[in-house]
Order: sequence, then C-alpha cells, then structure tokens
Amino acid sequence: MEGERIYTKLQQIFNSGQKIKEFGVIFEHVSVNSEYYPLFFEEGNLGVHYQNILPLLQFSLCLFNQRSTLSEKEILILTKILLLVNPGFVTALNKRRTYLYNGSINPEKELDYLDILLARHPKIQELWIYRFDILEEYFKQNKNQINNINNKNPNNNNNNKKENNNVNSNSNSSSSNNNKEENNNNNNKNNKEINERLEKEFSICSKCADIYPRNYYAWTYRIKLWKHLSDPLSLLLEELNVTMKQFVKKHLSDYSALNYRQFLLKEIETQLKKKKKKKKKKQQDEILDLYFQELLFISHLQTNYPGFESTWQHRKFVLKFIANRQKKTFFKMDLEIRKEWEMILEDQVSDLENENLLKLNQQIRLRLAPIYKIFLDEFNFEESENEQNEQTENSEQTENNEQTENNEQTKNNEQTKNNEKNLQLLNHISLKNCFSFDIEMIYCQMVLLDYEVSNFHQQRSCGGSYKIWLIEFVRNNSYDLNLNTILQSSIKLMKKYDTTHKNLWKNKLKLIENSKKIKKK
Amino acid sequence: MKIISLCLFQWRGNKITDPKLLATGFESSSFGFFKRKSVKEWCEFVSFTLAKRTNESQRQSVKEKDYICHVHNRFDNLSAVAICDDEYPRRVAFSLLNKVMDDFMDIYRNKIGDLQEYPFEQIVQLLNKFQDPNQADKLSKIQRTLDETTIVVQDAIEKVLKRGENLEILIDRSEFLSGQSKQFYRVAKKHNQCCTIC
Repeated sequence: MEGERIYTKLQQIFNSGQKIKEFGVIFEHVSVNSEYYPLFFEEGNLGVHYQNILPLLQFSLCLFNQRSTLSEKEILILTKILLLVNPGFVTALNKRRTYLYNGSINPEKELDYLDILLARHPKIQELWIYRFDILEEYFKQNKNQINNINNKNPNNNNNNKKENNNVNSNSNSSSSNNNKEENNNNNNKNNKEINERLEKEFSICSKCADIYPRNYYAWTYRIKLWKHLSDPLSLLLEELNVTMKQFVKKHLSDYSALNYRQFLLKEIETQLKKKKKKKKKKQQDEILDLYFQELLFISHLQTNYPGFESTWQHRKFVLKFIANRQKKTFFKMDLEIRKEWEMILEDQVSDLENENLLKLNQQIRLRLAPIYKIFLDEFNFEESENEQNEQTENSEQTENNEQTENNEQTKNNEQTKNNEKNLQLLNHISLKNCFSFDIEMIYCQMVLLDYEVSNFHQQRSCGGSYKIWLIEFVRNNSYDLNLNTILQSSIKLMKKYDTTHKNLWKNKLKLIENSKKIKKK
Repeated sequence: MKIISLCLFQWRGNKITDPKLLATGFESSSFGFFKRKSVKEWCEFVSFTLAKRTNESQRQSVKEKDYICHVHNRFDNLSAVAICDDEYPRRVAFSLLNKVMDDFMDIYRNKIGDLQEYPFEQIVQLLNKFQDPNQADKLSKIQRTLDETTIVVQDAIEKVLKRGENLEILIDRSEFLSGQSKQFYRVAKKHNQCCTIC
C-alpha cells in the first residue's frame, strides 16, 4: 500500500513534465501539508524517505513482472521510476533501449534523465553504454531532419552534417545562392547543436570523474565522443591546453586524466598528418613542440606538488616519444653534465651532511630553473616577456647611474647583475635545444635530493623508480655499458628510500650481478 | 585537491569548557543537494572533536577515510581546523590555518571574550583563495620549514579520542548534528556492517 502511494505520486511528478535536477534519499519526514507528501520536491530536487524506498522497489518490481499486460506508456513510466531507485537493473534499461529505437523516447530528454542517474552512480557501466547508444540515436535523428529539409530544395546538395565544422570550407556544387544560404544556415544551426550537445557531454564526464576519481567509464566515453567530430583540431588543442590542464591541476592523483592527455596528443598527431598542406618536417616539428610543452607542464606540476606517482608515469610516456624522435640528440653523451650528475650520485650514496645537501640542492635548482621554467620565484625570474624586456632596460639604466655614484649601491649592482644574468638565461635556453638524457638525470637527482632535504617527508620517492627505468631505457637503447655501475648505485639509493619495496630492489641488484657473470663467461 | 571546510574555535585549553565555534567556511559545490546540510554538520562536529582533543601549541593531521583533517591549536587561545582531501599538501594547509588565525586576530585583537558574536567573512574568501594551493603559497614555497613544533599524524579519528570514549556516544550527544544527520549515520553504519573489505 505504501509502495503504491509513493509510486502514484512519482508518476504524477513525471507526467507533469517538471524538470528534475537531482534525486536523493532523505532522512526526515516531510510535513503532511506539503504538496507532494510523502515525497520531497523543491526546485527540481526530488527526495524519497529512506523507509519508503524498499516498499517502492517491491511494488515496482511486482508491476514489472506483469509487464506483458501493461501498455507502452505505463511501462515507460515504470522503468523510469524503477531505474531511479536501482539504476543497475539492466532488464529495465534494455526495455527502454527498445523504446528508444522504436521512436517512443525523445533522445534529448533521455540524456537529461540519465544525468540524474549518473550524478548518484557515476560508475555503472551499463549506464554509460546506454548513454552512448542514446547519443548515436540523437545524431541519427538530427541527420535525418537535415536531410529531409535539404531534400525539399531543388538542388540536392549532399550536405553530410558530420563533415562540416568549418562552414566556410563547404564545397557546394549548387547553382543558386539562395539555396546555398539556406543550407548554410541549416548547417550552422546543426553545428551549433552538435557543439552544444558535445559540450554538455564533456561537462558530464568531468563531473562524474570529479565525483569518482579514475572513473574508467567516464574517460572512455569521453574518448569515444571525438568520433562524432570531423574537423576537431582546434577543439582538440583547446581541450589539451585549457580544460584538461585545469582538471589535472585539481586531480593530481587521477592517472586517467593524464592518460586522456596522452590520447589527445596522439589524436592531434593523426589529425595533423591528415592535413597534407604542410611539409613533413614542419609537421613533425609541431608535434615535437607539443610534447616539449607537455614536458614543461608536467615538470611544473612535479616540482610544485611532489609525491604523485601518476605524474611520473605520464613523464615516462612523454619521454619515450621524445627519445624515439630525437635519437641523435637524446642519447648523445655530454661529458661535463655527465660528470656533474655522477658526482651528485656519489655524494648522495655516501651520505653527506644536511647543510651540504642543501647547497647541492640549491645549485641544481638554479641550474634547472631556466631550462624547465620552474622555481621562478626563488631565483627572481620573470615569466612574461614584456616584463623581461622592461627589466633589462631598467637594470641597464641603473647600472649606468651607479657607475657615476658611490659604492654604496654595490649590493643593488650585484642584484641587478644577477637579475640580468638570470633573464638572459631564461631568454636563451629552451628545453628543446639542450634536452638530453644527461639533463633528465639531473632533474631526477634533484627530486631525490629534495626528498632528503625536506623535513616533512610527505613526498614519496616516486622519482627514484622513474630514474632507474630511465637508466635502463638508455642502457638498452644506446648500449652504453658504463651505465651498469651507475644503475647499481641508483638501486642502492632506492633501497634506502623506498623501504616498502626493499625486495624489489634486492632482486633488481641480483639480476644485474647475474648478467655480469654471464657476460664474463 | 580541495578544501572542504574551515572552522575557527576559541578555546582556553582547560578541558572543562568546550571550544566555542567562531566562524566556518564550507565548500558545498562538490556535494549533491541532499548531502550538503549533513556534510556541513559532520564537518563542524569533527572539527569540534579534534579541536577539543589537541593540546595547546600542537598540530595534528588526522586521516578519516578519503579526507584529512588538519588541526592547529595555537598559544593565543585560538584553534583552527581544516578538512581537506588527501591530495592537498600538508604544508599549505597549515600555513592557511596560520593565516586564518592571524587575520582574525588583526580584527579582534583586544576584544576576545567581550563580544558575543564575531562575524568573520574573510574565512570564506580565504577558503576559496586557497582552493588553488599554488597561487596562494608563494611565500611558503621559499620557506621550506615551518617553526619547530612537529606535526602529529594520526590514522583515524578513534585514536584521538580518550580511553572509554566512543565515537557513537559523542555523535548522540553532539549539538552540531541535527536529528537527520544522526539518523543517516546510524542507517549507513548498519548497512555497511556486512562489508568487511575496508
């Protein structure tokens, strides 16, 4: 009886056509005088008391078992209510799917209905699959509409809605301008609709990934969405540079977001290759630039927020790509830099005092700052180019003035000189020109030194396992056998820092020693 | 990487009187409509319990499921609690707590104990500003060490409570939680009893 009462009330609300934003379970009884007693419904927020959920479910399941006797309308409402309470009920979902292909369900409204379900249960696989089916149906129906409108015109232009995002490149073979305008208008409307719909889909994916981190289904759905766009290059770049950067900064331990960035980079590469206008070299340069920017971005994140394993995994991906494209420069040995980081490694292994480690740490940071554009505040670097030019002018002027004045301002002189040096470094050094395995090793050493120096030890030694992977990677690709001893000392360091995986490092050491023995034999 | 709530208490540390809640800031946009009220009450309850259970001039970081609560009980009878998720850097959280207490003292330096209410709107502004720890943390990036008092790290709220105290009894007696929230806690606990994985 209780279940039936609630069922009928819910039916009322759904039939009245009011928009429902959210569904939830409440723990306080609603007053008897309210309009929707025993439900709570205000400003689109629908709530059912927790004691009423079980009777409601029992009643609706009972009805569902008798669905052969019910009419189509009744089944639609029944499944809607049933899925609200139990979204994982696949039979009801499939029933709705048949009505979707029938044409009894409006795809757009169904998408809005799914928003409510996904907000509470963002990780149900069947819902995401169903959502993809609805989206396909929505695009199909839109395409049919457009084709119907076009078929009414005497000039039958095959305007496939999927092809044109840039309407200006629309290659119409029509004769009259009026028809062209009409078709263009239709295409414009259509493109707007598609873009609006896709924006909403992207925002739902972000929302669900926010609620439940590393949400596999939300991210794979997001990747599938790109199939519906035909000229997505500008949108891809915007997604890479704006929306995903914001998302990643807020969710650093979400490796799925970084994996999605990897997908975007690959997709941009394939899209650039399709455009045969530019020469191959220029294209490859563009793609490499993107990967270097990615390296800068990830280094920025790693230095500001140390201790997130996901960023190091992402760095592996970026580095592999760059190493494979720039084999000559990456694997080339730079003796000076190599001596530098080999020395740092020895110092680390031999356990220096804290003061010396601090000095070492500062030296490395100063060295890396202009290359990776990190630690800009610490060493008085200015980020924007305009400010840089102004500063050089000012420092030159101050230098001239101080030459005529006394030595009271020697301190300022030194500071301005330092600033000048720093600014020159910032302007002249770019990561692309000096990037190599040796520079990357210095970066890894810095991370481990940071771990040693900082007092909080909140930072885990993630950079250490990355460093060992890097040495092995270079050793296998360039047959640089000297790296064996360095590998051993690095593994010994890791044994010291990463106490949870001691056995892992022991086994690795054994492997290296055994391989040596085999070679000797 | 976000801060969910920020609470400021006045407490003399004598353990006879309870901490007095002066101001709260709460970030509600990541919770659904039906959960907001009880989450806010829950945050205030947890902050109150932790403020009561930290000694004078002590800092603590207590982990509770997906969230970490940072408490700082300062020498000048002020105590601040921030509830963040586990990505938020600890150093920034404690510098935020310091800033909240400093700003409050700037306004109400000599008047603590005189007034009945202490409207402090800046707490909400600070909460929003520190949602992005990078922008707000430029000073403390250079200072890599805070002052000498160390931070005590706890794994669960239960460890903060005294012997013989039960979280359920505290919840029942609490003024911060409405009947709805208490009921929600009881029902949720009952339903999750069968799950022994976590």
